[in-house]
Amino acid sequence: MNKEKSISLRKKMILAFCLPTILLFIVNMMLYFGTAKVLNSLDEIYSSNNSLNQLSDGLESLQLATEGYLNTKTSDALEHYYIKEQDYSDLLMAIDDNKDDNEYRVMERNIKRMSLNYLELTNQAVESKRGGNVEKYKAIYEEATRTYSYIESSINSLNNKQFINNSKSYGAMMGALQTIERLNIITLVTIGIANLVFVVLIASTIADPLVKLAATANTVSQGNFDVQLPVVRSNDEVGVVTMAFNKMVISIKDYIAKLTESMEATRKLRENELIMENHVKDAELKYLQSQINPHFLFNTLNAGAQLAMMEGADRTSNYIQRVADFFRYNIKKNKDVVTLKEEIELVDIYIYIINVRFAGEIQFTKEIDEPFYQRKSLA
Amino acid sequence: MKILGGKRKLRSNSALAIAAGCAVAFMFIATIISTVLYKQRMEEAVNLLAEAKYNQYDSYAVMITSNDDSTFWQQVYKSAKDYGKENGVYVDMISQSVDASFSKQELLEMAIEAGCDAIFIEGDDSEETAAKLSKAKRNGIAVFTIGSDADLESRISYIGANSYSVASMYGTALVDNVKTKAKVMVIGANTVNENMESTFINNLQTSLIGENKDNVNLQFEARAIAETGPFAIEEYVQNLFKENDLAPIVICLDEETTAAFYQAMIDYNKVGSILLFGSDKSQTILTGIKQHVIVSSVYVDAEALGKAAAAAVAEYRDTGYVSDYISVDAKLIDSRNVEEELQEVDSE
Repeated sequence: MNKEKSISLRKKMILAFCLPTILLFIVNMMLYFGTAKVLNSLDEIYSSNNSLNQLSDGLESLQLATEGYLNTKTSDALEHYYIKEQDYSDLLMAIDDNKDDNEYRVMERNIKRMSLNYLELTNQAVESKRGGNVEKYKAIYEEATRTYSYIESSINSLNNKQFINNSKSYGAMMGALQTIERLNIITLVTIGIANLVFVVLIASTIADPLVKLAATANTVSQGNFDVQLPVVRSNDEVGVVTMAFNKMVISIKDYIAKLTESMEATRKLRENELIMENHVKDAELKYLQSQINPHFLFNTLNAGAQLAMMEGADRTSNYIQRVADFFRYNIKKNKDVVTLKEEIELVDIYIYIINVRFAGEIQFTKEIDEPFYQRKSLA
Repeated sequence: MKILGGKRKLRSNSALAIAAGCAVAFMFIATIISTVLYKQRMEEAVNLLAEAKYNQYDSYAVMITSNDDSTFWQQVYKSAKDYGKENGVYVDMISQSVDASFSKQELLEMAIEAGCDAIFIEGDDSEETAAKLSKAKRNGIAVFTIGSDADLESRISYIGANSYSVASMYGTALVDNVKTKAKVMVIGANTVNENMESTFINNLQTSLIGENKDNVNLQFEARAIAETGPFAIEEYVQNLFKENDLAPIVICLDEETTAAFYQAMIDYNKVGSILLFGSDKSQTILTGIKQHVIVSSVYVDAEALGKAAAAAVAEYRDTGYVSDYISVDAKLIDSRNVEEELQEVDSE
């Protein structure tokens, strides 16, 4: 019997259910975190476009604020201008002044430099306006407006280019997301199927011995103790039960065999007893028979006949003599070959005795041919 | 256990257990493989978004020409950019970066506002350009003229072909092809203005002095296309043909005019009756030479020009000095060497 290391039934079942659950959980977590990461990244993809849009809006606001102040010269407009100027400066801080050998980075650098110039020009225009230098502020404002158009074009162009780039990245990320999803579904399905197979197999390792055991038990219950006992292959609870069952069946078989043996012995004993009894009875009979002395009987009967004769009871004497003859003949007949005549004579005697008992009511007639009198037979 | 419709029975419990173990192992392997693939894919995706590491340049140079989209200037730009990349100079043609179209003056102003380190500009003699270049110089920007010189005060160096040697090439071509007295119309556009044409004609005539043959008498007429704007050159050339205001010999001094004139000659069936000498090198012009519509073309080696320009900036940055004039070869293409040139253009 090839016994595996004993993993208890409980452990097997826990294993069967927990292991695939854990694996599925891991895979699900992977999907969740992966998807979350990709989605986060997706958010970031268009961030460069968002910042450029903000920059463009800020620039436009600043230009309008500058124009507004130069048109009206109110303190509200001035305040508005300073606010917009600060806002735009803040937005510019996000752009590095770089020396990266890349088309987009160079464009960013140019936008920053041009914007710094632009801020200076707008400041100068505003200061000139405040100072009342009409020609100067107009000239500066024109230059600022031209610079504004350069910056705006650059921002738009960069925005478009980056949008195309970002869309490619977005497409790639979506592709990655789709691949991850597909990967996960395939993994889940694969693990699901493998899990199913695993659970079925584990269930079989648990159920199979039980089924065999049940079938064997059923056969045994129908009285067949010669059924092939299930092989014990494990040391778990089912194995223990199977082993116990096997032992039980063997024990019952032995017990029945012993019982049968003892019953047989008892029967034989009984038979012998009966035979002995018979023998004893025979012996008793013979003993009893042997106790009756035939001479004593004849002498006694003759004495009785003589007594009767002496008393003048002829009939009684005759009767007793006839009885003596009868018994004499019965003893004799056990040993010798006798003739028919003798047998008939005995019958006559018997009829005489009976008629004495029944007062001559028995009528007995016989017709025998002479030759038959001498026929012989065993007594 | 009965499976598959009861036809197979797994008799052995240990076989079941082994199979169960295999299923578990398979699940683990599937999980591991999918984890590995997943990580790979995530890394690929994340790398896409990772901030790229860029090389750093030392100097930022902006190139502005009269016709940034032309084959010639594109070749110059590409050559300058490639050479500059290896020498820490980032050469930028800002008209290519922005979607809107700006004039040369506007581009020049943009370059100055952007605070570049150097400007390559195709020189012209407009006052506006001169004023802007002067402003650039005041802002500490190194100005280099390429292809065509201008404003000697503000610029540090001129990189281009020697105008005399260019003119003498035309002279040689004329002598080879012209046997009689004839009128020669010289047409130029963009940066080629009347002054420059006059200079060219003078140089040409000077170069012809030594070559002059008795029966060759050439009269030169200069035509500078002053109109700017889209299709101006093509319309001017079309008008010449419509009004039959032509000469038996025509010299076009830039790529666009050459191409327009070549096409008009075919359209108006003037092939054979006009000798056309062109400028620059492009697929169209080479085809024209091959078809014997254009006699020959003189071009400046665009690659050499670009390389020389980038080198000049690098040298100026590193040493603080550079030659006032950097010469670049000019070459003549005619029917003898057009095949070679075509092959070169195709291979690019």
